[in-house]
Amino acid sequence: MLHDIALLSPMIILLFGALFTLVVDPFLPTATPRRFWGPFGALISGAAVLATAALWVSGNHEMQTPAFAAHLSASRLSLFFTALTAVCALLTHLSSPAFMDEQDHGFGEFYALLHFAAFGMAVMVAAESLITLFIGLEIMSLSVYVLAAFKRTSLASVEAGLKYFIMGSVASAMLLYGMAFLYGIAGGTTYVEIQRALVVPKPGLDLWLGLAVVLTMGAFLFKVAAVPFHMWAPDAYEGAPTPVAGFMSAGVKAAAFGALLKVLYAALAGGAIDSLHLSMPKMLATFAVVTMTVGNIAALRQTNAKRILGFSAIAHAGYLLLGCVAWVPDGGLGDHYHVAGAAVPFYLVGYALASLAVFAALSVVGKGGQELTGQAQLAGLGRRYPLAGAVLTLGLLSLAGVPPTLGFFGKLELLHEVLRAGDQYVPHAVLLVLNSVVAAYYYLRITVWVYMKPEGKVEREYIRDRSLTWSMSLAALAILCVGILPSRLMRMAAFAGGAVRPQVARAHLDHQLEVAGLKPPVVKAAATEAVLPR
Amino acid sequence: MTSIPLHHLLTLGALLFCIGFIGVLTRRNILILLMSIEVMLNAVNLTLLAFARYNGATEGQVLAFFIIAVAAAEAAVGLAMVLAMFRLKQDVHIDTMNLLKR
Repeated sequence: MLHDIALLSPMIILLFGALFTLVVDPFLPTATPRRFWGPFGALISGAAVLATAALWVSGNHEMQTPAFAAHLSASRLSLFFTALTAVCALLTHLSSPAFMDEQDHGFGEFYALLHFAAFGMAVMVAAESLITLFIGLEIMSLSVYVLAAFKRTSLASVEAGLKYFIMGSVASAMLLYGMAFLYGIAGGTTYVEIQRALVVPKPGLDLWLGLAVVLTMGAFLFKVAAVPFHMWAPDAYEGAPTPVAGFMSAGVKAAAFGALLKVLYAALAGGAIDSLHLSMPKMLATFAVVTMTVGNIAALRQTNAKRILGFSAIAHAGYLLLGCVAWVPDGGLGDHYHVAGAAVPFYLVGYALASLAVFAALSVVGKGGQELTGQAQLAGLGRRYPLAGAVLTLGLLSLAGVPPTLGFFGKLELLHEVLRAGDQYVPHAVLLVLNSVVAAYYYLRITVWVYMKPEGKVEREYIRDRSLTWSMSLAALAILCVGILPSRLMRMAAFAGGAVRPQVARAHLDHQLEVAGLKPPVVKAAATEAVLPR
Repeated sequence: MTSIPLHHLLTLGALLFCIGFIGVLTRRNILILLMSIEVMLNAVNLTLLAFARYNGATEGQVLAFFIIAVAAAEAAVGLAMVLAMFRLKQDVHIDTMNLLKR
């Protein structure tokens, strides 16, 4: 039990932050400004990152074992994504106080909800069973719906939250219905039990299994904002308070992809999935290509920076989805240890940092309740507020994948992995490259607004705040430093990616033993260290 | 006592889920949308309980309990947002939610 609690320390820290903020805040005098909760939240999130790092460093076989009756785990994959989501929360805590105060909505609940969302993300990526996955997902989603609608005197914000909420609730119901069928087929809810049940094809259950896969994947496509469930994203990003939009595009996406990787490769893999009539990898790869194309083309004719970034988030979901599919070639069992699987975790770090930097820099125009982020608002930013202009440009270059930023190496690694996965993905890889070229146009257009457009007569005021400066500088430094020296992060991402595969192999081995009449060793969900690239 | 066969329960669950889904697609009043979503969630509960009895395992029932709790939280959040919207423009129909352009 004590061991379980040690494994969950990052989550416990985040939950403590949320509850402490929620309990103490009502006792403070109403007139007290609440912006100190921002740095406090950053400290809590930083502590969660440190706890995750400690678990990572002390990682041995025992520590990798699952906690709470195989429903949560502290595998390298979980730890990597927990740290990433906690970093997203940290930077958002630093960038939001000044902005929310300017918008007259700097209440304590805002920071508590950020903590709750980060906690939900951590649970979601650590989940080893459908039950914990669902709970984590809902804690995250419900918090983020409220955060998106947090500026409740603004119709845009409430509309964004409500649209996100309705679509998200339908997606949750779909996910649950898919989970119900998976549970019916497997007789259990943990990923290991599902994996065991799916090792051999089940001809009689094909229809049900197909339905379960379609419903589950549909819900994940919604969460990552992929076609055909992408329309909520631009609306939600445009209407939500700017730092929240950054948190949504970075944290929610990271958590959703972390959970998707686990579900794809630790639960929904095996002979039964491969023998389905609809080929899941082919289907997802097609959706990925359509997603990136739709996102990029729709972004071209937008005039609001936040909305452009909403469509850019869709395009990035497409790239990442392709990376997820190409992770293991079709027929996923057995001899694929040589595939590192580092690309998706690595790319997500670059993407998350870049979008946090961009949204933090965009939030400086929110002086006095201002909500728009169009050309008129951004013109002259580069001259009057050089730091924000530079951070915005750096983040956009990283999103576009220009060296020496982190985004460039992410895209390089992703492309490498897609090509390594097999010849059938060559057309997809070509489309990925073409899409990146198209995307550069609208990223650079925002840069042109910032540096080259006439500024107008009125001297515009910007939010200048110390913790916002910290947030922008930290994100920009990380993009540059890790972009110049990416090998260490790359190795960590390879560890994270490698953590899923042994599980797949183990379920396969167990089945072979069972067929041979031997008793399989009693192992409940284990993502152990196995053969890893050095 | 003769027990109800599994496929009867599953069919009922599927029917309820479809009713809820069609409700979400066709209705325009957000309050009715919320009710349709509840119907979908309860269809899932029914399906889970049917499988739990069929499998003789309790995890399905555990998940159903969590779904009930989460559905309550979801309704609270949804109604709060509907209230905020009603205060701003005295209307709760989704076809008038067109401030953020498509």
